[in-house]
Amino acid sequence: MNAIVALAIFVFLLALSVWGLVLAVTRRPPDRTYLAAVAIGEVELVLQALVALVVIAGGHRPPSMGEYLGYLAATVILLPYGIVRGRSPHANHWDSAVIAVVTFAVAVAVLRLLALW
Amino acid sequence: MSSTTRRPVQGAGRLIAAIYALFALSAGARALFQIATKFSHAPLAYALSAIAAVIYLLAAICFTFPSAGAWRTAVVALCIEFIGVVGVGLLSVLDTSLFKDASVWSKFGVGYGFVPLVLPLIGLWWLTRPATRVAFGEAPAPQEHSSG
Repeated sequence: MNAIVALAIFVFLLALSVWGLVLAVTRRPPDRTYLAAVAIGEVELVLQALVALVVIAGGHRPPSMGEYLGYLAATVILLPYGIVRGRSPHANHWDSAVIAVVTFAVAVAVLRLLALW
Repeated sequence: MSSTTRRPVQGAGRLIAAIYALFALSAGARALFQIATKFSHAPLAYALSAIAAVIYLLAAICFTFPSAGAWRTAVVALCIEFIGVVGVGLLSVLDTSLFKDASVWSKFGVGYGFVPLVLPLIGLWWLTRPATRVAFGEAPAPQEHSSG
């Protein structure tokens, strides 16, 4: 895992989290622009996971493999859940808060990935 | 006999349900991994993490599918959760030899930004709001409509 790339993804996710928090506090549901930005975050995470899996297949062994793969799976599956919630016709500002929490959790998971690599 | 319609939880409950689901996932995955790979290292800490994960999962389900039973289950689960996080927190501070590795509730959940300590209080506050009790069918609606 490239530390610079992972940290860039971490910062992007933190920005998404703050954005979601602002939407929630100003009582706005997640809008299309925000959901598109979250989708870009998901693309970054999927690419990062694919690269990590290729390197692992090539022989790299994280010290705690099971833990690493667990966090890797978490970084990929959580944002789609937030996007689905945000796209619901009944979505309100609480769903913005949910996405803010989820993006923050994934940001922390990316840091854990970096430490476990 | 009126049937309670299971509508999705509204308002703050949606956020609380999502956070509980997130904690069930993270505590559960962590406990499963630790129990599978190194249970003998710190059996008490890992077993506690597993118990915490089950309580989080139970709360997440109760918050997501409201009913009178779910309301009561959630109140009991959150009380156990709060007693657990305070009890384990105190024990882990007073007797550091008791837990050889951190559990979700060690040192009042410091590893999770003290969220495990605050979450049950926020959850109980939300559950005991009159509007929430009505939404869960645990209390009668303020204005009764006659139904057939």
